[in-house]
Amino acid sequence: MRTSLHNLEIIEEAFLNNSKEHQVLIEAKSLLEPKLQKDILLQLVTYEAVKTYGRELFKREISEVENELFSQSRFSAFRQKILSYFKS
Amino acid sequence: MKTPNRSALIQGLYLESFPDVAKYIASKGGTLDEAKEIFQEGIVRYYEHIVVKQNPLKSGDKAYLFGICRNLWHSHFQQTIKETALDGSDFSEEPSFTESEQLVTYLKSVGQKCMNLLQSFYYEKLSMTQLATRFGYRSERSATVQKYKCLEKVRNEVKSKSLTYEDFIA
Repeated sequence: MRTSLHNLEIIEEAFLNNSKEHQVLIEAKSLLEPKLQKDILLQLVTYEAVKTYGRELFKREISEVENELFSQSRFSAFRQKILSYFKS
Repeated sequence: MKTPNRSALIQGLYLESFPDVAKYIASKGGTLDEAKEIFQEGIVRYYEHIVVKQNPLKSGDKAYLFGICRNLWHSHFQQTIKETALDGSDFSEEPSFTESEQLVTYLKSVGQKCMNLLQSFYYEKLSMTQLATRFGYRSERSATVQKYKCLEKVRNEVKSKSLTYEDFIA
């Protein structure tokens, strides 16, 4: 892998996987590459963005399964049971 | 996008746990829509605890999920009381988009495939073998390199938006 990708890997190991070995490596590299600190922060923001996107897809998937449970005839017993709790 | 294993997990959780949660929320005066909303959020929290953060469960799945939903219902109930007491409105207006949601919308527009690949690894927790199969790479090594290329691409897009970590997580 080229150097920039290798740096991504080191940051990931140090900050996502809490590898002590890679944390020491990051400290040493930071002395030689001052821009590394900014790259670390950007990479952490990227992980948060990916998590937000993953959550968005997961919520969509939950809604699809829920719609099936409340519409398909094979789940009618389940549906009737749930609806019975909300009859006043 | 439906994923077979995950959809089966979701369906299992609904069939096993939603009746208890719905019954509890109904007994507290909640509606079916509120029960559905609470349960959806409960599943997300359950999934992120067990799968994304890979924490082992101390109690059973059912008890853990019920506990999350009961806490969510209490928070929801307290919030509803507070908002009603403030001005009597029902606060039905659409929530505003956060910085993170705006950023994700932008990132999808510039690299949907990379975002899909990255979330499959970091959120769904697919293995490299599964990732290679889903996205058509010949080997785990190719999938690993592609994952880092995507991470670099998305990180560069984040940089172009000049957002800071604090902006994002606030």
